[in-house]
Amino acid sequence: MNENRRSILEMLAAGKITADQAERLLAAIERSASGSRAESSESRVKPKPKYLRVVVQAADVYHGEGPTKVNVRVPMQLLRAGVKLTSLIPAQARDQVNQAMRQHGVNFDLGQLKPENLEELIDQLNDLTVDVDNKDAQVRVFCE
Amino acid sequence: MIPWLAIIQIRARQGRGIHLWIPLVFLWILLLPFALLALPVFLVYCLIGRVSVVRTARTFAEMLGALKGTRVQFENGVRCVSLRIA
Repeated sequence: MNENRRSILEMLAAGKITADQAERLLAAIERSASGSRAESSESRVKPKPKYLRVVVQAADVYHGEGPTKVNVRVPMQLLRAGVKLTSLIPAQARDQVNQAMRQHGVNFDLGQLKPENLEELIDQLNDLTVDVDNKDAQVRVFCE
Repeated sequence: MIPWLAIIQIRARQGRGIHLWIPLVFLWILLLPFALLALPVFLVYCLIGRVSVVRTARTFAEMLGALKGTRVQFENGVRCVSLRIA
């Protein structure tokens, strides 16, 4: 028996709440418990993204050959390895890059980019989809 | 594990398509002399930048290995060209 259920029954026994109130409280606990179970099983099933996909559909016709479509699939592993390269940038060069980014309004320290942060970022990418639509082209970036 | 195969596929709306399976071992053999030439530059970079040689080499190897599964595809109304690294 969990702690909440026990405390409800104790309040009922002490006469602090009526049987009807206790029943409603127990039902509410049951609902929240089943909801969290479903949520956790959903997150367990969700697979990690393996690829980053970029799909571009251009409306313009090149030499009368029809609309152009570009489809790129990049393994996430390549992104991980690429980010690891930032740790190989010499400190003085990294400082210059950070300074240049700050000048352009990007307050970001490349030195803070660590593999554990990257894993977290990639996990979050699963839900990310970027769609850019205009009259000339359609760009879609997503993970799969 | 570095990729060993590149698959190039050219499909045309009219006529026959081309399907090429290219063993990358030839490419690696071709690139080996350039890698040997680049080795001193790489070592100097590691020395000046105070970066670990082993870690840098391992990261480059990881990048090569991670190329597996990359796919690039261009398509227009007439033909479709795709490159897949396996």
